[in-house]
Amino acid sequence: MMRNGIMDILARSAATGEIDYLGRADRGAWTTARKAVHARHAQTKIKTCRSNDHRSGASVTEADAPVAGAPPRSQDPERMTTLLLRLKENQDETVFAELFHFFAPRVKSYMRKLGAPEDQAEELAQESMAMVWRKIHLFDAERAGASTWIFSIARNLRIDAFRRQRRPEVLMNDPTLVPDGPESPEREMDRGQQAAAVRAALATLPAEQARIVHLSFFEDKPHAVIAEQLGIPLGTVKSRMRLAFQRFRKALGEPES
Amino acid sequence: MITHHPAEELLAAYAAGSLDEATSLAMATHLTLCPACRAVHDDFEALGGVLVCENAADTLKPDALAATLGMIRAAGSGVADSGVADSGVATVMRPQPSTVATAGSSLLPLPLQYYVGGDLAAAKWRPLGPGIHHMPLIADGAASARLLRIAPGRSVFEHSHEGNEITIVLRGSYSAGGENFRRGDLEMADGTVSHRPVAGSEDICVCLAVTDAPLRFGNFLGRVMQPFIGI
Repeated sequence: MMRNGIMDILARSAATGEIDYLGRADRGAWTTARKAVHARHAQTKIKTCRSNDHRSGASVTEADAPVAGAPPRSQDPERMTTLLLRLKENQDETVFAELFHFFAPRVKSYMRKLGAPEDQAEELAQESMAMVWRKIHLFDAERAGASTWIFSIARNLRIDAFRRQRRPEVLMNDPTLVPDGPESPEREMDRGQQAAAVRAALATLPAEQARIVHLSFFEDKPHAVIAEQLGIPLGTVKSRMRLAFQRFRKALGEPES
Repeated sequence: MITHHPAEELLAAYAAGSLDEATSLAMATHLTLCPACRAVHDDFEALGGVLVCENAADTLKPDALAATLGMIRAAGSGVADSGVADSGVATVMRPQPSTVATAGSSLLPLPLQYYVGGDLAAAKWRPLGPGIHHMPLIADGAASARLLRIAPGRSVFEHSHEGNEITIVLRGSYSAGGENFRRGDLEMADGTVSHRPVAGSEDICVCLAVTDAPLRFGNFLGRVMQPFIGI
């Protein structure tokens, strides 16, 4: 079954740009612009996500989900980081509940989009949040913001659950670790600001490249499998992805306008 | 100074969690030695975080929070971590303390020591050809990882690849295709490359090599040996 996913977009040339899947309207979900395009956008979502729903048996499409309108307070990344720091200081169930209400439904959606059936996605979302509690002593706001840290926990749980594999990782206490140099001003950036900068950089990408970036995180296929299924050279798949990620990086390095 | 780096889409795939274990090991090894690529990878992880947050929320089961708190209470505070890799500060990937060399003398990054069973001295070498030894680390069908040890000045059989080969230098150096590779450098070779790496004459050369398809050796000896050495 050919899905309307990263396969399609990589198969096309980079210039067609027909579906604004992760277009400005979606990224600016919390702005008034969101409302103006909501109807058109919802249609697109239903079209692109139908096969996912079919596969997972989920009853909620993205278009149905309550994301329109003003953001709840908890969507502020700095607040999420503050909550994690409070949880680290004192394991408080009220603080945990607020984190849970924001992150657990999104982690579940992440798992489902990557192919987990409804029950497994629910289970993995709950496990991810239990892991947040259990690993909270390791949370380091200097190194990662709340969303980055929780994403990495969810990703690793997914790899373990889907593939029974490990994800070898850099360890900060490794005696062979070559430390960061004094340069690299990006890393000096406040981690709350980093999320905002990432969002701004995404917003500058053409729709097609934004979609490649987006689907790279939501479609778990090796590049070689993509190339084989599309019947296009592996090098072409890679170079299209490379262009998208280079452009994202370039946008991230530029001052916010 | 590292001069050869992985391509952006490879770092992005590592951040997204779509690489196999062997290629992930290559990324963790290079990132330990390369702060510049660590910064790129951190950006991609932050991207993952933002994308998950921008995800429309799914509906959870009504008792989801209670069930999760129940799971937490049942696990108790004194229970050891599950076997799942941590984010960033994994405990499961840590080798036994007795096998970890003290700071200053370590050669192999810790993610690699987990598979070797310690630092370089713990490697169990098997002969692969004249002046060449290897130690298989991961062979899961999708991709395989091995340590290679090449005697000073010796070369690996000429070979090309059906898929990709990633090589990271850990000790010494080698040259291939007119370029020189030193500690931390990462070389990517695909099906278009047929090369014959030669170790530097100053020292043995130790590399991590990850392949996602069988190598094709170009010379007679290589072709004859291939079925026996299991590369």
